Amino acid sequence: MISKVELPLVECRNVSKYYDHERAVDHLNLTVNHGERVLIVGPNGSGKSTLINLIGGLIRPTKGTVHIGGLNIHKAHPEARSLIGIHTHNPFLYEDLTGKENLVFFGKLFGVPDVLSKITEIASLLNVSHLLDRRVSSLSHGNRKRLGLARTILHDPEIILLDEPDSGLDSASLMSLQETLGTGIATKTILLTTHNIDWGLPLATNVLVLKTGKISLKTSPEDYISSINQLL
Amino acid sequence: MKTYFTQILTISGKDIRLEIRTRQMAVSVIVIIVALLVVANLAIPNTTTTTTVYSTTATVVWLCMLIASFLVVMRSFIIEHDQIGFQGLTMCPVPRDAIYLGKVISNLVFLLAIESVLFPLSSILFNIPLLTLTIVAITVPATLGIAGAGTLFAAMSVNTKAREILLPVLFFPAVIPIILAAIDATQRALQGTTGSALWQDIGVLAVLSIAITTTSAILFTFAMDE
Repeated sequence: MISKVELPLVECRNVSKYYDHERAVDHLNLTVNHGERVLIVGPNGSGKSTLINLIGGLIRPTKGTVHIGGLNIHKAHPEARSLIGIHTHNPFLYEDLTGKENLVFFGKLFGVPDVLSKITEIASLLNVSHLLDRRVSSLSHGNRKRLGLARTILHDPEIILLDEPDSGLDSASLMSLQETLGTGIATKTILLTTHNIDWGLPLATNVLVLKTGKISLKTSPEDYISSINQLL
Repeated sequence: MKTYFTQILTISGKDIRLEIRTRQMAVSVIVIIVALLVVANLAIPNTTTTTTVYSTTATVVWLCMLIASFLVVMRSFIIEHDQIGFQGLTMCPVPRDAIYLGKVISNLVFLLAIESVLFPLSSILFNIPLLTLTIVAITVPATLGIAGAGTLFAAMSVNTKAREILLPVLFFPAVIPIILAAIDATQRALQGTTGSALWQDIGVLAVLSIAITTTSAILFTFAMDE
């Protein structure tokens, strides 16, 4: 069990990531503690998605290390991976399986006890119960994203990484997602990227502004709004 | 330990469920092996001696398995690549060797299912006794070795741009010793050889397959981490 006092939950130590010779993340240091909800903003190509993928262990850093609860995520620590739920542009769902079959599959891999009742609970929370018996290939982009979110939180992870979860969602789904993130899973540590700052800001306790792979500002939502207003 | 085996069976069960649902691999493999068997059967003259028929059939059957196994292992990782990306599995708290063993089991099941069509069909077409316990004793370890090596190399090549080139380059040389040992043992079995010579062949196959599968499980962990 990770001590909530001693260790930061997420720690990026001097992390860089290059794609060929293109620098996506540049010597980035970041610490996120329990219960923080970090909104990551920045223009296209600023390294938001790369940072989420690095913290989630989906890609390896070119330099530096990423520690989750004190464990290096890229050293194949299953304990560290079970602390993370990640939702990216890829919903990580098998198209030829139904929603429920996908969730059962990932639930078993994550060791979720009584997986079927957990699926019912999560599906009810995210309002995706009607999608469970349908093949993923027959679902719309938005419904895939919602089912992908159910997969993300199925194993009750400590850290939830969300890379533009709002893209492709209609306004009702956006409201529902905001409510879920704000109240349904309010105790979790969340790192969230979005271009929709008005939507994401009420969910955040901290705002991280990325520019060309570097942190250009880390501040509170209130100070971020003030700085935007001053610029305007 | 229970979780470890649950994870292995969950991965292999998912692969089998996907194949039963889509039948994409089964159709292409069955068409290819039927075509190969028919061509080989028509090409062998009627006047050929029984010994030659046995030798030729053993070779044809295992060449069919070589091609079928290439398609099976390739397909098993293309599904991961196309549907969730291999990252979908590696993001889970599953030891890499559990992913490997899950994939080996599903590939083994697919190959044994193909053999359950290939061997009776060959037996009928070539009029030879391929459905014996001795042949089963040869087939199971040989298939395990092929699935073990193929799973590793398919995983290594699937994320590369040149996977159609890389996989055969890695896979065929690695399984040729198994195929040759299986052909040799099958020929001996068909010719009625019993006793130590035949069991020595089967023993070699079993040791070779276990060694390849164990080494591949270790290498898979490193390959996935890189």
